[in-house]
Amino acid sequence: MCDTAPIECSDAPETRPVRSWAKVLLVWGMLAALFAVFNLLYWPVYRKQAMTHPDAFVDYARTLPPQEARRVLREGIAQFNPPWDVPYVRLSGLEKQTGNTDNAFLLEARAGFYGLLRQDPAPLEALAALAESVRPSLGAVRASAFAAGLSRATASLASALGFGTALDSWAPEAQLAIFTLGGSVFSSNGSIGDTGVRAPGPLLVYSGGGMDNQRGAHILVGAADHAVRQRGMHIVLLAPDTGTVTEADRFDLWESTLEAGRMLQFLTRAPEGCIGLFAVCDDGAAFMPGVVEEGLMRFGLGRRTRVGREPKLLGLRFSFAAIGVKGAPPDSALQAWSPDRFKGHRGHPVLCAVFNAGGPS
Amino acid sequence: MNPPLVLYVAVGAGTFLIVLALVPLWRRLALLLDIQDRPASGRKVHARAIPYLGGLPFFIAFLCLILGIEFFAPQYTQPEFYPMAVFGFIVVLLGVFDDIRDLSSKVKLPLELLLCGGLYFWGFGSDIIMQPMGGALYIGGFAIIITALWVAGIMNAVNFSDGLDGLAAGLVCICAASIFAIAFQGGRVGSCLLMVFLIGATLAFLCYNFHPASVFMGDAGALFLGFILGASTLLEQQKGVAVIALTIPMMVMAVPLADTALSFLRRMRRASEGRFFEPDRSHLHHRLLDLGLTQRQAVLALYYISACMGLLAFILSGVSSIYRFLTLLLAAAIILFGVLALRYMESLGRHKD
Repeated sequence: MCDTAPIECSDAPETRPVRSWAKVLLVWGMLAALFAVFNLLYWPVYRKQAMTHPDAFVDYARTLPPQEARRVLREGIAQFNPPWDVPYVRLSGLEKQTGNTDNAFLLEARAGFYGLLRQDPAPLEALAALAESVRPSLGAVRASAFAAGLSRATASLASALGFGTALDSWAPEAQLAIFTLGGSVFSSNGSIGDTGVRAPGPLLVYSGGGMDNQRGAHILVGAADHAVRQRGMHIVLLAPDTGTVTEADRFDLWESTLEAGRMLQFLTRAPEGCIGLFAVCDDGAAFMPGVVEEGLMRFGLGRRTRVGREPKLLGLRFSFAAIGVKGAPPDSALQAWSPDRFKGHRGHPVLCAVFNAGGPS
Repeated sequence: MNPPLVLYVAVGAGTFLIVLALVPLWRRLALLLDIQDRPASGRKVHARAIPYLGGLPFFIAFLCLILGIEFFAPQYTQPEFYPMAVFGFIVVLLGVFDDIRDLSSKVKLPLELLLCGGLYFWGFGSDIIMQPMGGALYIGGFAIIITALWVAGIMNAVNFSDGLDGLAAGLVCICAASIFAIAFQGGRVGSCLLMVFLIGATLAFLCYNFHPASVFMGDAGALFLGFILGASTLLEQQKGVAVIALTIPMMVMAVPLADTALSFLRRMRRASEGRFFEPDRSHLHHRLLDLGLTQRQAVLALYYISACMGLLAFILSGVSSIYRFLTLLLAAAIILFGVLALRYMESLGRHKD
């Protein structure tokens, strides 16, 4: 019994390695057996957990019957606005089975859009044809009335996608179609979502997502851009009747909690009924306490996405664009976001706009 | 009591009972197989052979914790638990090998770093670090190195402090209690569950390991405790986003971390002689013994300092980052001053001799 005492029993070096190896293997074997039993019990549970995690909704949907799979895919797409083709392809297939051909067509177009963007360089002609095919489904949007603002957002989008100035010459409706394919939201009847408030003029908010040289944020009220290419949550407040900008500020929530406090004060002092336009450049959530999130929800914004398992308004480095009204019920505003990585940066460019409103149109 | 509080009590009590029941069994096995720590070198302070393997019930209790939560309170299951169990299993295997075959640090340290770096790819991947002076910093792939260094550092800190009866288990228990208090305030269920697990496991183990010890946790136990402590403090959910925030855990674990840092500096000094990986007898607890304190007194003194640091961390968890960082610097300066004072007293003692 002296195999672990080299000093006391140095006269028995030859038997020691074999015997101590046997002990190692015996204890390892016992532990491995315990761990195997644990895995037998827990692995199926863990696998199911991993599959039901919101981020894994596409894989999870594969394991479900069609009706359930359709629900999971719809929810996943609504929550994450994923910038790749697989979820759209799968959902469009399921929609076709139920005869929902209009929806299936739009989903296929989105799948095609992300499929084309995967190619490097993306074929512009194919992209233009795709945009053209989607145009009729946009309805009677008078995008041309706001061509200047739209072209600025399109220029940023084109830079982010690596198209340079190629999209500049496109018709405003075609530019809008491209944004639609990218999961942006807009109102074509002049009303701000379900807030019951009509915009005094066309409004456009663009968030380019993760920071690089090409992306940024735009808040366009008329011809004036009230956002700059600087990190943070950009907020512009408008008078609901005249459409004049009453206040505009930027809050760098990446930097410190002090900015969150300043933002809460800004949101609190905003008068009831005013219109708020929100755009994130790079990040607008690193230091956003729940109380500030609730301040944003006073503008009709909702926790429609998820971070981990928690429903959230937005997460770290999400692109985020929204138009809301102070005092509107939660979840009634126009809101677009993207949490996923796209072209090397987190947050895929999104746009949120109100067309066919009063003012210039 | 609200449901999580009942759950914490149940997890703590369950872990305590499991470890309390299993330690004698593994002790008996260690005696049977003659897996014992013999006081063969000058570093060892115990007088007789003490069986190892007392730390293996920690791992078994951890598996029971995961299963128990899944089957009795599935809404509190954390996705990080399973990766922790898998990596923890490998850590325990490594520790068992070291306890029986005495693995060289030259092999052990790279293995530990590799293993801990692997955590990044399975549930612990965060590329945002909270700056000590306030604000967040995007560190990208550098996070793998931070993850590996932090977890391996804590594992070794706990292992280094396992030099006196009840010291490692007691320090882990105090650190876990401090982190539990902070996590409880912040409503972080995952952290709370892991901390009550550590509290239950270490308290039960102290029944056998407090001076005079009848069993040692060995490297298997110390590395596993350090692994759980390190991994659980690595990720903080900052408003739903995983970030690496280390200021508070550093303050809580100031005693074992300071001992590890000093040990590293000593090793660096003798690295030129090719003795970097050689252990020595200059850890804080050794030096307290050299000053004439009994084992029990030295252990209680280190408990006391650790508890003070934990309390400080708890108080400072509510203040802004800049104050927290300044206090951390102040605490580091006080510890450094304490070590210098210790050296001065040692030299005075030698002078008298």
